[in-house]
Parts: sequence; C-alpha cells; structure tokens
Amino acid sequence: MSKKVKLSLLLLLLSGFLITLLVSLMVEPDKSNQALKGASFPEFTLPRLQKPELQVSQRIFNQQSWTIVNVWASWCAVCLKEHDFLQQLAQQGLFIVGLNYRDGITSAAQYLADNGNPYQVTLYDADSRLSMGLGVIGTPETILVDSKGVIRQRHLGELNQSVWQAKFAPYTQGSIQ
Amino acid sequence: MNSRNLIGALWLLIVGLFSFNSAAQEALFSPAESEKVSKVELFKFDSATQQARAIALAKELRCPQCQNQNLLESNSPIAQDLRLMVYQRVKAGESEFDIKQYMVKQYGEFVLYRPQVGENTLLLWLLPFLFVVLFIYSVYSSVRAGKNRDLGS
Repeated sequence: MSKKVKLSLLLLLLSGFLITLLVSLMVEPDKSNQALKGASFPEFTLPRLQKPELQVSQRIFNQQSWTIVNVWASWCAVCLKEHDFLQQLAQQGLFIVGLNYRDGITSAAQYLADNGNPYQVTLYDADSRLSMGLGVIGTPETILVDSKGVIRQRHLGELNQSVWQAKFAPYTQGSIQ
Repeated sequence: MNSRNLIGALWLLIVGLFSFNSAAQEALFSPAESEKVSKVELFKFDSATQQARAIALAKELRCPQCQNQNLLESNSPIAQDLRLMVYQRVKAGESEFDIKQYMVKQYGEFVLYRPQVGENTLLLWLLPFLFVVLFIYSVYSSVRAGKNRDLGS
C-alpha cells in the first residue's frame, strides 16, 4: 500500500469514528425501562389520594381497553410541564390513572387542586411498593396498560405530542393490537 | 461597626432562608422516606459474613437512576430502596444469582456491572480477545515482512 492510500484510509476511519461520536452525542437515548414491557402490571391494593377510604386494585384495568398510568409527584418540575398535555388526553376521553410517587399526601392533593386534575383515579403509594414492583426509576413516567393488565409501552420523561404520536398513539388508535 | 452589623444581619438572613428551605423540603417528601433511610443504615444482619456478602452484591449492581453509581454508593431514594431489598433478600437466604436475576427482570441487563455471557453480550465479551488475536497477527506479519526485506537486501 502506498503512503497516500494508507493516509486516506486513516482519515476515512477517523472521520467515520468522529461522525459516530457526534451523532451519538446529539441523539438522546430513550432511558425508559423496557424490562417489564409485555409483563403483567404487578398486583396492588392502594388507597385513592383524595379518598383514602377507597381502595383500588389491578382490576381497574379490565374496565376499558387502554389505561394510561402516569407516575408523578408534586416536587417534580417536569411533571408540571407535561400536566397540560395530560389534561388534553383526559379531555379526549383517555382513562388516566395517576400514581403518586414519594410524595406527601397534602402537597400531592394541593398540586392537583392548584393545577387541575387529569386523573380519573389517583393512587397514593405511601411506601412506594407498587412503584418498586413496576421498576419506576424516576418521574414522570407514563405506562400504557391494556385491558388484560399487561404493560405495553413505557416512557420516562416528559410526555408531549410527539412522544405520544410515536410511542403511544399506535396502540390506542388500534394500529398495533 | 455599622457595616459589621449589616453583614451579620445579612448572614442571619441567609442562614434563616436556607434552614427554612430545607425544612419545607422535608415536609414535601413522604414521611416514609426518613424511616426507610434509618432502616437501611441500621440494617441488622445475622452475621458479619452475611453483611459482607450483601454489601459486595450491592456494589455489583448499578443504580438504575444515577447510572454512574452502584447501589451502595448512591444515596438516591431508589438506590436506598433497592439496597434494602438486596439486604433483605440476602438475609432471607436468596442466592446472589437469584437476586441479580430479579434486578435484571425489573430494570434490564444494564444494572449488572459485569454483564452475563449470553447471545446478546457475546460480542462484548469476545471483542477484546479478537483484538488481541488481530494484534498478534499484525505484529507477526510485519516482523516476517521485515525479515524478508532484510534477507533480500
């Protein structure tokens, strides 16, 4: 091999390497926990946040074809950012269950009173046992559950229109069974 | 004298603000949190060897939230919960393998600092050996080429 060929080969490799680095810098990886996708939602019995005397169990999923479980907390700033979008989804008739995570019960209730409540039902997970069973890493997290109580899709981070279209709408609109 | 008083007052104000802020934050989180912290920190093992095993295992597992720390070093609430879970399972006599399997089932393969050898990690494990073989080959061939050239000249 001549020196020129060797040099251009090296340059080609180097630029390929650099481009790979640049691309991976710009593309934000989806950090959602995919481990439990396809598994059934863990069994639970939890009190409702605003009516602690009422207990809710996993049978709640059997009543509608899709349930959105949104893990949130009053101390979570990103949750507030996606709150309006959740309200929109609720107005479209989607059944959203809120799962309150590592929160004080009064500050959580105050948050819903201040910002509006997109949740049909809000669960208060005081000892975070359900969140642990679900493999929740952080807030906000959105989990799509089908009528058989199977976890079908998850998203960690802010839920917005584009994430919804890409990850959730294919299920709720019926293009993925 | 006057400016000294002013600085003192300012100092008091700052300290007051911060202590108020931290008190407000404590009330924000669920009351179960502080209870849990003491539960983890004061966990009673049956024996010193059991404790050593549990701590070694917690060191081998990555915290799913703060991914550059292990369960032992991280103080995020989820790491504390998982550390407690590891301790409890070790105490209950579960094997290291079973606990790791549970963690992988819940969070995925990345929680293991040393991924298991499997079909999707085979490349990861074999690549270093492949590089060594390639290196040996290239050294061997370049030495032989040099020898041939010396003989020729």
